[in-house]
Amino acid sequence: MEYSYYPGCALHSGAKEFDLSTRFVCETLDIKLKDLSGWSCCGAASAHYINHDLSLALPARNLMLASKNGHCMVTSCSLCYNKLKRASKALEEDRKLKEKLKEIAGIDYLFEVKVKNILEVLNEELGVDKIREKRRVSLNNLKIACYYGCLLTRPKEICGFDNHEHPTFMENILGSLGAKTVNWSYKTECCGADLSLPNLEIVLKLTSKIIKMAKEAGADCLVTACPLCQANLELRQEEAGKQFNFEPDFPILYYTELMGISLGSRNALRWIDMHIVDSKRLLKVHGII
Amino acid sequence: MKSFIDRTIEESSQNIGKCLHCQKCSNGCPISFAMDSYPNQIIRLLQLGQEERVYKSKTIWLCLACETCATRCPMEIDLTRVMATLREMAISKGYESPLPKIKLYHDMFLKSIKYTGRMFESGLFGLYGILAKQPFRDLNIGQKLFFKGKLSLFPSIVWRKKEIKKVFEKIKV
Repeated sequence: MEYSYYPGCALHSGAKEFDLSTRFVCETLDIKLKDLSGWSCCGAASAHYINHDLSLALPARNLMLASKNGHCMVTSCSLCYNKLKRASKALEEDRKLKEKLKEIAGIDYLFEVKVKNILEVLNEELGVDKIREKRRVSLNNLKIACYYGCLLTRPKEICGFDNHEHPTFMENILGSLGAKTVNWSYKTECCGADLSLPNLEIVLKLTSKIIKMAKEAGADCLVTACPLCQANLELRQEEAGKQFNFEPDFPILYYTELMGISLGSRNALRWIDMHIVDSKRLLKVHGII
Repeated sequence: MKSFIDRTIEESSQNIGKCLHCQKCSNGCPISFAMDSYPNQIIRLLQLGQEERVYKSKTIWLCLACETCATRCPMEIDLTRVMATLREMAISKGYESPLPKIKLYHDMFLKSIKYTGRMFESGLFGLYGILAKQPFRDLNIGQKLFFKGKLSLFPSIVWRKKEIKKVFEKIKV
């Protein structure tokens, strides 16, 4: 399997550990990632906020680059995935849009590019059995709350993989690697997204609810597939803990990091060290590192 | 001139007239607690032609596009798209956002993409802090990220960044 890999801005900087662990997981499982040369920002939530055409043109530019490679496009970031897939579907369904984007943005879309998320590829194209075969370290019944956030599975017409209200793709993988994933009802509740800088109070309220519910469900940590969710849940945890009365010691990891540890990565500690909330103690107690 | 609801239906491609006011959207919205009008109330104001009230509400400027409403609407109205359309219509008519900090953030994010092709995190956070008059609030977090090697002091520039700037200029953003 070979894909054009789109890291996105966050995995290129503030979510480096997500990028590193994604690359390791894919390499170990023979999923070839070819970096998309000249990639640019997908527009994230900001393009959608300000202008509809821009919110399609920016991801479409990347689809154009990928169409020259001839591969299917893959990304780990939920937000990038949502925006790229939305643009890809819009171009597929609307011929006039193709011409409009060519005229206003110089985007010459050669042929259709499929967009997938790494989580989707791991479950649907590779399969959980193949992942289980490569397990080196068991996750030793570590109790994990799998958090999907908003845009990985919604809207179902765009994303079209896993169940949009009660997804289980992360649970499938981590369960096969020995973890005990908890059943909880806040899997797809919003974390507050881009409001972290302009309206922090909302993010504190939403993230505190998510963390409290994960703890109540019996989880020792939370895993996510979105760099924005991860940042809100981890970076704002100390402040949220003060305001909403809980201990800010809840590790927030990327699912690919735990996968990487289980598949035998020697660099996993480097990824774990990039986090603000410590998770080493928890992983040591469970005999995982 | 076409009515407010007709213009919105045309711009958003959503058949807002179908709304039953079942309130699934308002009940599922994660930030309805922070809004002055619930999402379905915005639809009602739309249906009643209350254009200025809609443009001045916090709701359309606060919507996070989390897609919870759009996913659950039994009439398959993409309310996220309607909110975005109302916001664009408000901006084009010169209305100021009642939540200027949110708009400032998004404007600055887009400027970073316009000139470098990618989001320049430390630049955006630093400059945003100054312009939003909260320069010290996130310094502690910024410092931690920097020493963890996750924040660069320099932007990552796309070598074909002129193409991206052209996209912004042609769309007039």
